[in-house]
Parts: sequence; structure tokens; C-alpha cells
Amino acid sequence: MCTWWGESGAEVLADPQADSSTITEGQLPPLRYVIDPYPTFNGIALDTRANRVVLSDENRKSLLAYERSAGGNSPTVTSPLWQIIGPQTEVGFIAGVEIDPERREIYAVNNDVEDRIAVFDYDANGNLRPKRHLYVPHQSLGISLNPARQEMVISVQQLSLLAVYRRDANGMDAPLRVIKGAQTNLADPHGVRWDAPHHEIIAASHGNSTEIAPYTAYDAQTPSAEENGEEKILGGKFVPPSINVFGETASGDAKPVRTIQGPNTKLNWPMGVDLDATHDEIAVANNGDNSVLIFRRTAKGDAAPLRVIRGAKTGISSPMGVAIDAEHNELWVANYGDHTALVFARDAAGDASPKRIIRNAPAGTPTGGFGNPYAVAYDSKRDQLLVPN
Amino acid sequence: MHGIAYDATHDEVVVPVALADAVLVFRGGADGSEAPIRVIQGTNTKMIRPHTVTVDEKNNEIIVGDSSGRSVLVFDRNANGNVPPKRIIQGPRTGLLFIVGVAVDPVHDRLIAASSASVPGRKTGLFIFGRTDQGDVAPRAVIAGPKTGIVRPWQLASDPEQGKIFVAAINNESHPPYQLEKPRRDLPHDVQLPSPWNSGALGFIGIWDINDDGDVPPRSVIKGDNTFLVHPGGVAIDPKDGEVFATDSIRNGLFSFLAPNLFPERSRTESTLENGTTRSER
Repeated sequence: MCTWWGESGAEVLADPQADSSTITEGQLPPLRYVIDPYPTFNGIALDTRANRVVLSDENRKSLLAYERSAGGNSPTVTSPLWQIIGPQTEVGFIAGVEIDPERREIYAVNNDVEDRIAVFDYDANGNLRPKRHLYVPHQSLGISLNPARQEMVISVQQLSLLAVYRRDANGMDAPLRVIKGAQTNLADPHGVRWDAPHHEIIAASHGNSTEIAPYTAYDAQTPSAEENGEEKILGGKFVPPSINVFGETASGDAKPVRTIQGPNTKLNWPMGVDLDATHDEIAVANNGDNSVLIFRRTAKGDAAPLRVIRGAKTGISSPMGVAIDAEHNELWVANYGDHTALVFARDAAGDASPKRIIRNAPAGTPTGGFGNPYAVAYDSKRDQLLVPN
Repeated sequence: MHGIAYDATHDEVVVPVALADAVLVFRGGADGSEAPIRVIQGTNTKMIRPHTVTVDEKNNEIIVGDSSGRSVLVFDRNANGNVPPKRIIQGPRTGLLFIVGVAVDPVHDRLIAASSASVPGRKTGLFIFGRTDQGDVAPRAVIAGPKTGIVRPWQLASDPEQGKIFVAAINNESHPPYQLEKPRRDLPHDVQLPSPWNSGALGFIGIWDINDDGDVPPRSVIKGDNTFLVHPGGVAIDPKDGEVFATDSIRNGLFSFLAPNLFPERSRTESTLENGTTRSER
């Protein structure tokens, strides 16, 4: 059985029917299906003043809030304070999430299909409309606010750019400025963090490098390109993953003020990033090798991380989000590879065990690992189905 | 990634990497962070955003649908590195715009591309070319129009023995282009664009004949509440076992449908796996 949100609320998908004699034309029930009925965490944001943590859920398409002190060693599901979910919410293939403690608002970035940021009040719950939304480019992912500047920055995978908007931008508002171009070293950027105390913006890139030039249904384009079919082939390439740091007022084809990149960095599909301004450190959710890397904030070049949290005891599995709570000396990790968020001591290193675990499914529940699956192939030799994310 | 193909003859998996203008070929059964055995990438490839792929196992070719280039690129199956395609279908006469699916039928010598249009007056549907067509060539047939039910197609699968095309009609609405200077300039500031919770027509898996043309409904369809499908983007087939597979972006899941009536010419007992067993024996 599988729960889902139907037209009139939560519904239950019945077990597939084995008897095909009841099939009407076209209404063929599936013989089998793979659906994960539980949330899977992606982005994470902390508000230590309000003692809450908000996580985005890519699988069920929701936002969940927990007490900052939630979780423990129990194998059972951790109860959230609330969950924003349903057809009114505009929350879909959700990725980055950010909290505005001053205004008590939550920002959620839809990465695919919806192409928008949905903003909710702190205590929003259930199936409700966002208080405002901002349309953003396709494949936007990370988000970070700078209340002092009344601005926010997002990362955009497909266009390899960072876009800065007004903090309360909505509707079709355009970005105030964009960091984009060959000199930026941005290549499929994911996590982004505004380092307000040092007037910098930190962004993690996977290393898929291209510059999409002409028309598609999604791309930034010029009318002439659309009408005339102009084409500019630049050629793609794979470059090493990187952390690039820009001045907060940078725009255009700006060079980063610092870059962390190279084999010593151990960067491998870096996802979320967070800043510990108190201890002058940057934490990175290193999805490719199930680790969290901690660098000195001012690290550059082929720098080794100060600490690496990695190993069987850690429980880190395809980490997407990371958040540092310097006030309580904790480091949070949002796992996509299983149904958990993990809380470590801030200075944890090596094969460390988490202090406590937030579970969105009973312990041991597997995940399908799907992330908006748009294709499938059948391997007839192995009788296997191949699904790319 | 929005595409994937399995080459049973050579036991290889082919995937496009849209954000690095590349096509990667892995050995069948590849696992973990295993490196590809071949990489097609570079300016000579003419790839801008390879969105979807298929393999012509009979003619030893990899076919790439490029959504930004509005082109179908055909490479030698063993192509590796910064190599040019053998053939390109591209240009205004092709009618191709946002190409999201490709399939090949070497029995009927046809190449099929699924293309979406956000440009007024242009067609969204299936564009059927001769397998070896190239250049700015008109399609031999176009399956498009309201009777088809296709609002937005996605992945394709071909059953050459029967001359059938399986289409994942995802049918959620695409958004107008986002321009950084003035996002979606033709829309009002307070427009409510569709979201997956409330978007477009219900998706389905539709089956057409390779000789169909024009505004014709599918020969068969898998659609409706009982199927659980909302916006299926992926489709693949196992003719020997009479199964149709679909992925659904809204359900975030994978579905298998048993539909032997869609493969009437096949003997299901022929299905023999690598280990010598049949699915029923397992």
C-alpha cells in the first residue's frame, strides 16, 4: 500500500491487482510499482533562536519542521511540528530551503518543473498557498538570504549561474544581478551560502560545464534566437568539483576571490554548504562519497579539508544538506540515501556516530532513490530496469 | 538525466549528460562510480544539450536528441571523444524544436523524434523520418493534434517487430522561457503558472503504428486512475514478457504494466535471462 495526495486529500494506492480480468480499456492497474511512501530529506535550514529546523522533502513534495532538539536513538518515526504538503502549496521537486528568522518566513526552492520559490510563514501547516512566490530559472537549487542587504542568492544548475534577488521579490521580478560566465568557474552549481560577515557568497559546483546558448522551452534566450534558430556550439566538459567564493556584489563574468578545487579537497558532488562564522569554517555535504567535509573558511586551491566525517558509523548516506549550529556546537546532515537527518558534534571527525537521529520513516526502511525520474530502460540480459535521476 | 538506453547486443548502457554536452557509454551492469568506457564530448560533436538517446543495435549507431540544438545527431556506436556525428537532422523543414525523445525502427527504416513547441504555430508530437535522412529534411509523417492526446511528449520506445511506437505523454505544461533581464516577458507579473499539483492534461502511455500520420488517436493507451500514472515521462518495453514500464515524475516512482495483448507476436517462453532462467521461473 502507498499513501499519496489525491484531488481531495490523502489517498491510498491499493495493492496492484493480480487479476487482469477486471481491466477496462486503458485502465490497466500496474503489475508492480516502486514508490517510496515516506519523505526523503534534501535541503536543511536552522533557526537556533526559534529552536527549529526545516527540511525539504523531494519525494513526497513537502516541507517538514522539527524542534531543534528533536530526534534521538529511537528506530521510530520522529514526529514533525508540522508539514506543508498538498496541491495548493506549489511545493514540488523541492531542493534548497532557507529560513528568515527576522520575518519568520520559510523559502523553498523548486528545482524542476515548478521553477519557483514558494514562501511560507513559520507556522504554516498542511495544504495551503504560499504567501508569495517568485518564478526563477529552471533547475534553481540552493538559496541563501542576507537580511542586512535585503537580498537573497540562488544557484541555477542548468545555466551555471548565481542570481541575486531582492529579499521580498515575487512574481516575475527579475534578478538584481547575476554571476555567470567562463571566469566564474561555476559548473552546475548546487549549494550556496551568503557569508554576510565577510561580504562573500560561497557556492559549490559539481563540475558539469557548458553554456547553453540557443532556444529551448526552458533556457534563457533572446527573441531572435527563438525565431531564427541561432545556434552557438561551445562544447561541454567535465571539470573537477569546486567551491567558489565571490564578493557579495559581484556580477557578470566575475572571477571568484577564492576557489577550493583539486584532488586533495576530496570534493565529489558537493551539494549543500554552510558557514560557521564563529569558528571560521565551511561545511560541505559531499554526496559522491557519503561524507561531510569541513574546510577553513579562507581555504583555497587544492586544499585538504580540516576534518572529514565519513564511515559506517556515521550513517551518512547521499547527503544533500548540511547546517552548522555553532551556538549548540552541532552539525546537521540531511540524508537523501536513507530516511534520516543526523546531528553530530560540531567538531566530529572520522567515523563518528551521530548524537541523535531524526527519522522520517522507521529505521531500516529503504529508499527508492528516485529524484524526478524522467526516463527508463530495460536491461534484458539482467532483467533489470535502469532509471536515471 | 532525461534519457537512457540499453544496448542488449553489446551489453552497454548509454546516457546523455545535458549539462556537460556529453554522451557516456557504460558497460552493462556497471555499478557505483565506475568510469564510462566511452565518452562523446566536444565541439565537433555538435551537441549543445543532449537530452535523450537511443541505440540502433542493428546498424551500430547511437542516436541523440538535442533539445537546444533542435537536432537529431547520429553517431557511430563506437564513437569516442570529440568526434563529429555521421548524420544530422536539423533545420526549419524538420519541424523539430524541443526534442525530448528519440527512437529507431531498423525494420521499417524509420527514425522517430518527439518534439515540443512553445513557438506559436509549430507542432508538438512525433516526427517520423527515414532512418538515414539527414540535413534540413521534412519528416515523412507527423503524429500531432488534439486527437492524439499529446500535450507534451517525452521518452519514446520502439517495437520494430510490430512497427509500434510507445510514447510517454507526460502532458504537464512547460513554462515559457525565462529571460534573466525580464523573466517570461510576455506574461503578467501575477500570472499563476501551472505546477505539478495542478498542471495540464493527465499523462498516459500511448501506442501508435509506425505508419500512422496526422491527427490520429493512439492505437492503445495506458491511462487513468487505475494506472496510478499522472505525468509519465519514461517508457520502456519488454516484449518477450509482455510488459510496459513507465516512470512518473509526480509519483516519483516506477511502474510495470503487464500487457501481453500489446505484443501478440511474441512468445513469452522465449524470455531467457543471463543466468539461463525465465522470469516466470524466478
